Amino acid sequence: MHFPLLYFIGLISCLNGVISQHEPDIFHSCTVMRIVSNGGFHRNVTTIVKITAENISLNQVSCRVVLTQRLSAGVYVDQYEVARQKPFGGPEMYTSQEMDIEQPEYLSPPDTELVALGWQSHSGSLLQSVVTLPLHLRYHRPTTHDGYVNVTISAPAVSLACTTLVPGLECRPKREVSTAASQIPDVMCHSTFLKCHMTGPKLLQLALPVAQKDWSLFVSTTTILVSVTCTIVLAYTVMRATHTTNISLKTKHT
Amino acid sequence: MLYGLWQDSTMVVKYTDVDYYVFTDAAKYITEGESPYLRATYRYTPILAWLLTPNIYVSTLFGKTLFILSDVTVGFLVYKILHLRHCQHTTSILCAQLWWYNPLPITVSSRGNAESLIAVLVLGTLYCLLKRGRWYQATAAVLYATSVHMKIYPVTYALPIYLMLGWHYCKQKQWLPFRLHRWIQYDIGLNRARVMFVAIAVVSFTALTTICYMLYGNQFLEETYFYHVTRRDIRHNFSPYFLMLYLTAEEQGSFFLGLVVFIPQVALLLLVAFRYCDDLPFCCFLQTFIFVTFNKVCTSQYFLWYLSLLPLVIPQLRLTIRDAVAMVTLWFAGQGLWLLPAFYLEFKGVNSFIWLWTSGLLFLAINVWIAYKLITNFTHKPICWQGQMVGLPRKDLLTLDEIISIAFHKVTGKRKVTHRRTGGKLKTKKS
Repeated sequence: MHFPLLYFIGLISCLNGVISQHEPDIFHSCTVMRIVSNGGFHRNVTTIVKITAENISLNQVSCRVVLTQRLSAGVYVDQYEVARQKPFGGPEMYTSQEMDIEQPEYLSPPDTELVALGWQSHSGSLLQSVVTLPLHLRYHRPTTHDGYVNVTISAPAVSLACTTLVPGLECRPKREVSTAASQIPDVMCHSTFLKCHMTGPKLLQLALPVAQKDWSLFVSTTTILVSVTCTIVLAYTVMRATHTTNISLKTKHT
Repeated sequence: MLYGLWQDSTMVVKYTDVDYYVFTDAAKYITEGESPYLRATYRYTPILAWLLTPNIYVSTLFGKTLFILSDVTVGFLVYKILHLRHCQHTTSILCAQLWWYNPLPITVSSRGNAESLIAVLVLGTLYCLLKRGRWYQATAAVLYATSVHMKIYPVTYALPIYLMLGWHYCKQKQWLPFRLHRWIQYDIGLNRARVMFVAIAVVSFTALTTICYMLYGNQFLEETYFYHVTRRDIRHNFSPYFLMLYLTAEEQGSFFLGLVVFIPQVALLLLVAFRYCDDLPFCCFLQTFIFVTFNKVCTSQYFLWYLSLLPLVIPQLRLTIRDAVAMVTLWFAGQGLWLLPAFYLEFKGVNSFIWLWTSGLLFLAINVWIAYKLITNFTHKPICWQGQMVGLPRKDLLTLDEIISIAFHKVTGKRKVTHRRTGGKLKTKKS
């Protein structure tokens, strides 16, 4: 019926780079929920996205939910670790730049973008996607406060990446697609970002232990003192150790 | 290794070490004609990636098999070295078994860590030096250069090896191009063995480094050498210095502090080199032990560096069973005391930095006490005296299977078990 016409409009809008900042009309609602598990320096952040479509069966479209996540300097995701988890239901992930997993927070780039595509399921007009990202927190500068800093994880942006053109779904032009998102293979249409409702806090605050600057003098002095004492003890032991005794020359193996 | 294969294919938590994935990824780049350094955190010689290219062509288990075979070779070399030093056959077997059945190297190699390759090179160097032929010396120099090329730490053995190749080793005339005090000239003067070893080692090392540099340029030097020398890892590790370096990382003079922590390490390494150079296995063991204990960065893998040399010095130790048990218990307890706060810090987010630092200092003290016990209970025997090999003290130890057999008889037999060795065979008698 209207399908060829809508297809044609979608194709033209993609090719001409027509940008629409509005939420596509075909989606009735989008909700995002995030759950943080594990503690310390290694956290798993699970994001559940539920999208309900109107007037369209999501079984018929080949779109994947894409999470675009900006990470501050204090956090990183090891792309090799994510790649190893993929056969076990882990996400597919692309980054704008390779993340240095060894640098502390204060020597890392302030902002990194990654896109992740998780495991997803269709059920009539409901599309649900689950992405679990293993986040690692970097060592932070010592503080003068209570020994903890908060690392903020911003809310992810949600979009769809489709391998075919979907009637009613507006596509972003290529120049609007980030470096990370452009690496997703076989995508014909990157949808505009959906307006999603966050269930739970928009920003995640992860507390991380840090050393306290007040310890500096005490720790440095004690470390050097202990180290010097141990050195003297060992040096004295080596010097005083009894040397060569009873040298017996042997020419045959016993 | 087979268990690891099963765990890797069924569980999210892998048995295989992260480093093994790094090696394999680097090998994959090599097979694609790319640089292995395209793989983030690959900080090794490209030779390792070349060696592991069958991981891509044949099976991903190739590398692990290679490391496990290297472990077996280490045990074999332990036996051969002790045999060369006229050690009792059963004692040599026991020392090799202590390596073969040590769960630490078994786990490390089967998880895909390459430390056993370095151990083979280091023990191979010692074995060839003890064989004392001209060709063996040349082979030792090549092996030594390769070991330094693969990992930097064996560079500390350069001085004791040079000093060992003196008058008592080869009875060759020594000379110096300048005049020094007589005893200094005796110890450090040039002779044919020393010149040959240094020349071959330098040429081999330069050749390996030049080939790698020509292939991968500055990145090879940066990742393989400079990174390890200039490394300032502020994340928690066994080193007693980690918290100090973390707290002062951005302070003025932190570079100076980084140099200061080298002083105890260097001073002790020099002292041990001059004191024990004529008993090279013990010298290398003690140097490695001190190097690891006082290093700015120390992880569990580093322990293997000295554990692979430990079986070589056991026949010369006069420790009681009680001392030995106390040392092993304290060594593990020290690590346990460190691992507990480390777990709470890393996985629970508890601020346990001070506890961790205290445990690091305690572990340092324990290691120093262990070194003290080893030095004071060590029967020092030079490898050579006036050009001849010196025999090790006679120690008729039981092999592991004999110990197990006696324990089994004692537990099951309910009768007194005595053992007596006649003609190299153990006779067990129940009464």
